[in-house]
Amino acid sequence: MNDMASVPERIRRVMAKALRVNESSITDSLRINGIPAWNSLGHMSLVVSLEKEFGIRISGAKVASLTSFEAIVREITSLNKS
Amino acid sequence: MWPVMVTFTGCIMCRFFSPLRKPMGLMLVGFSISLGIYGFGSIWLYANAFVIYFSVMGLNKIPAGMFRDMAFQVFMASMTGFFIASSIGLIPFLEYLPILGMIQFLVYLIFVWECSTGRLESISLPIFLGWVGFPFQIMVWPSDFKYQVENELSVASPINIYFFQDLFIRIFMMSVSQIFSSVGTSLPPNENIYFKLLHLYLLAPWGWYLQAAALAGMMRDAGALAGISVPENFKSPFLATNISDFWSRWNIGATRAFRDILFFNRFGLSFYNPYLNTMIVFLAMGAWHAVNPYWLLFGFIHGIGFCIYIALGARLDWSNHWKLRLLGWCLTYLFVCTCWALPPQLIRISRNLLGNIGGFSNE
Repeated sequence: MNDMASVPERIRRVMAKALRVNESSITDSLRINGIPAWNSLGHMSLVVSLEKEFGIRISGAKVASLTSFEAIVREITSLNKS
Repeated sequence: MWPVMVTFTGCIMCRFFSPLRKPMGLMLVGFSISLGIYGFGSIWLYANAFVIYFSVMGLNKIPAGMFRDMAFQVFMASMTGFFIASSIGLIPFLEYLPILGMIQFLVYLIFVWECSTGRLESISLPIFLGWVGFPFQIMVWPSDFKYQVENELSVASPINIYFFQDLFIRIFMMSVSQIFSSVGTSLPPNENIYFKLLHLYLLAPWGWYLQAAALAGMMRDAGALAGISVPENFKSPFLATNISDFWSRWNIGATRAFRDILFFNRFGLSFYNPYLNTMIVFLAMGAWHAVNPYWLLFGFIHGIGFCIYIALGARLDWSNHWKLRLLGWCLTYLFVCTCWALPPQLIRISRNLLGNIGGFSNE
């Protein structure tokens, strides 16, 4: 059922769970440090959760560049395709 | 103030002569600024820049894969080794080899890291040398600088009243820091605990902060003159309500470098270990200041404090309860000041202990 949802919605759900916030807080324009929970620590657990959810491996360089919801959607979409 | 004046002069020239906002012009201005600040030392700075640039461009030609990653890691490890060896005076002539000082080390490391990770696929030599010459590189990363040179520098943005207002605030901050520093040094010697506490928990930390923030602010102003957008480097760090918040406000450029290069790193493990990464980041940050007991202890204590915060504090929602925020602010302020104040005491105690164990005492 999870896989049926669109990639942005799955990402939003994973982010909300990893950062322990409501899904409504994860807006399309959200950036790192945009909410208190999305600090460097939150970012690490977010990356781990995304890797688990999508069965992918995000490299260290990419981790540092995933600085917005939009960037995450773009990266996960491209990793899913490849 | 000399480096600030030289930088401002260079940036004002960029404002009035548009060719100086092109790659070759920026290289010329950057070299002139660095000559004005470091004198003949800038020849070493640029010799290092050439070595680093051509090494990295050479490594960039290796096809993507494990071998390329390893080659970059070995290169970064060698740079770190040179930095540590030269900073502890292991081999005297090393001070003339690739790394000149803490700022240059971090600047070059950021450049190598950006290339190794693919964030910066290519950069022309003039843009790179221009970036190296300006003293605010640590805040503007090479990829951002390259982007600005190629896309934003053709027209320098107008100067408005806020520019002069900001500049006045920086000068005021610098003056207050000088006053704090002179009051601190003129206080009676250590016998009086209240004077000592006043110095360690108020005058000294605020003096350092005001001076560093004013300098970083002046670099922003200089950048604004030339049309280069320089991000903020200090955002009211003493208002932080937890240690993670503090480091997101203090020396943001350097903190961002350590975070991106070391904190978001698995170090070959299959998982992220935030405690291991935290200790590595803070020990490296301490060693970056200087490889000596004071700064290593400074990094170690900060690392321990951050680990405790990860284990306990990060679970609390600090933002929604004013009592927690107030408590967090007090604890953070005291902890941060203690991290500066404690290492000399620990070093003294351990020297005395070692002296006693060895059968002799310092006294």
